[in-house]
Amino acid sequence: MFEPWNIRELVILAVVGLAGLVLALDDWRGMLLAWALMGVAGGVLLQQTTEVPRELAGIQILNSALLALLFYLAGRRARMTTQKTMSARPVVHGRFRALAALFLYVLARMMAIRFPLPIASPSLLIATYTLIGIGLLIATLSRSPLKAGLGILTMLNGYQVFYLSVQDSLLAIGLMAGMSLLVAFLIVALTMARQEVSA
Amino acid sequence: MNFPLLILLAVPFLAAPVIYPLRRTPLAAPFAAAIAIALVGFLWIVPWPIATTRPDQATLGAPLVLLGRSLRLTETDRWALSTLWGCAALMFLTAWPFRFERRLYPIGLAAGGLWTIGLLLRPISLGTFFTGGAALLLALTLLGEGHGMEGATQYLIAASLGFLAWVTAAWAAEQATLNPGQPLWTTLTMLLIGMAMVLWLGVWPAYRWVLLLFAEGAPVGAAFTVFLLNYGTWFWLLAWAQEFPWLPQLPGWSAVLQTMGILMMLSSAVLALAERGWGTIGGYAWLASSGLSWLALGLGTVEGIHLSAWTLWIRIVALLGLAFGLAAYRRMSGSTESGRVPLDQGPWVIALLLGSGMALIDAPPFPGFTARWTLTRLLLPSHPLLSLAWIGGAGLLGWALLRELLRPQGETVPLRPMPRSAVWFGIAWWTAELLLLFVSPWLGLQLRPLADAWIHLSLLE
Repeated sequence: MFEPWNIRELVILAVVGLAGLVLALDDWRGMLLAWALMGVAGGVLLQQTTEVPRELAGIQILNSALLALLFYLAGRRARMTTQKTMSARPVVHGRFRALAALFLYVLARMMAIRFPLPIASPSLLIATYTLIGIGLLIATLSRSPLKAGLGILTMLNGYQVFYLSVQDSLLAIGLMAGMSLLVAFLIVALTMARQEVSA
Repeated sequence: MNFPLLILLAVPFLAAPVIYPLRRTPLAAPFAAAIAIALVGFLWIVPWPIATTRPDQATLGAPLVLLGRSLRLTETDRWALSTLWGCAALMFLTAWPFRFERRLYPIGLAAGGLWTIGLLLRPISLGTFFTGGAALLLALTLLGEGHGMEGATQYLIAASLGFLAWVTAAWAAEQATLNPGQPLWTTLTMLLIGMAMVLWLGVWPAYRWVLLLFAEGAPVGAAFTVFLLNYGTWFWLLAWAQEFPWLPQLPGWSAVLQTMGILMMLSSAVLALAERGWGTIGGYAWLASSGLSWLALGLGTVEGIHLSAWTLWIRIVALLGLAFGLAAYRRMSGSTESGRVPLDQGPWVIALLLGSGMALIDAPPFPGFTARWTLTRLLLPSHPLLSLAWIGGAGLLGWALLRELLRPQGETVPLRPMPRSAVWFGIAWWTAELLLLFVSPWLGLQLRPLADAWIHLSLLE
């Protein structure tokens, strides 16, 4: 029914849309759900890419689901002690943030066309640029370590889309996944430390 | 199998879990320092047989092969690792009297171990993951009782972004080697290295996390973080230049380093005027001090490179003093804001903060002044305005420090008394540091092989 190119475009739109939701939502549980779904959509996108082995895409999906579970547990524990941590008033209104996500997507498309990389697929570059931009925006606009951490991991997710498609070495790919886990662990540690301070 | 090298790499990771349960006891600091000093001793006591793997580079012992990748120790690496672990030992001792620095010992050893692997591992694209891991792990040393989280969170953002820039730069550098004659890859490599350094070294506009770490983080943990990132990047960049010899020959190389150095020195001097607090001003003084080192390296001349290597030793002593002073100040008043500890109630703390700050901005009679003076003389004929600007920059920072000293005490806060042993340790440390400051020019001369490695790469003469 759909051409492979069209399916890939749709998945990219889904990834970008979900990343935009992570940016626009205020509730941390909503953010986390959107982030987990974005990770799954990112895995599906990698499955559509011929350069990436299918097993790696599956691992990417599993990784996102596990990290989302870890964050949910950390977030719940932090919320029990400090209501303020998770539901602080946002710095920028949600509608403006959604608009910023759209702007970043358009900018990423322009950049992928204006500055193409010879061995990277332009469609993957669009997803990478958008996710890095949105992740950076989430990280810089958020006050709580958990939300800022979701931004950092969105950036890493975006980068992995590009990295998995250009890197042949399985060791390097494994180390990149290890870095995501390390960042997740640090975010949980920061969230817990903040909870201790607030308590 | 090169067993001595395996031991060198494994010891920090074996020691970290042993120190972790001891972190709340007074044993942890001397134990961690002893491990770090033992590593330096090990580097020099072991009779490493010279092996030649590449015509242009001899290694100390045969390379160690792990998972199909090689780890090799060269003479330059020996100097770099000695400096890193030697300074780490001093940092651990500095944190000794302060309970809120307890995470530093195990995490510092693990981060140092990861950075060591990153420096020695080839290909460099894989080493990037280990240096990146070390940089990220340092975020844990910044946490402690009563310390703010904003600095640690901002640091994590900068470290993650910097790591991504390094990984992509390594990939682009490999592409440039595989596809010679394509300017895209060399330009991309240079651009990404510049971005990574801006993020990791706290160059304007990505400087805010450095100040937050000193103002609200655990002070010795913050000092350890900026030390490992700054010194580690200096050695890391040397490893890059050795692996990709075309890199220092690029026209943008010197420009990037010089721009960074100038930005660090001038922006910190101007911005410090609008800030208050010993921690924040100390952070600016550190930025200005490391900027001089990068500017000197970026000059690409024999004198500049020697000067850059020489300042490595001078800066660490002043940084240690600043960290100790800030930690003592925080211990007494619960904050690093100015005016909390009056001069009559903590004279040695204020003297340490002021003295270390002045040493960082290279005020006379501290030995850093000779470095600043030499650099000014080097650059005065070609860039007179710039030379005057950074002499003026040091003056502005000095004014900011003096203003902290003269600031009248605001609200009266009850001071927590320092234990007598810690006060004596502080005074002894202050004296030792003063002595170190004056002997550091001679200690710095020992780092000549590091400068020679750069000069050999640049083919200057």
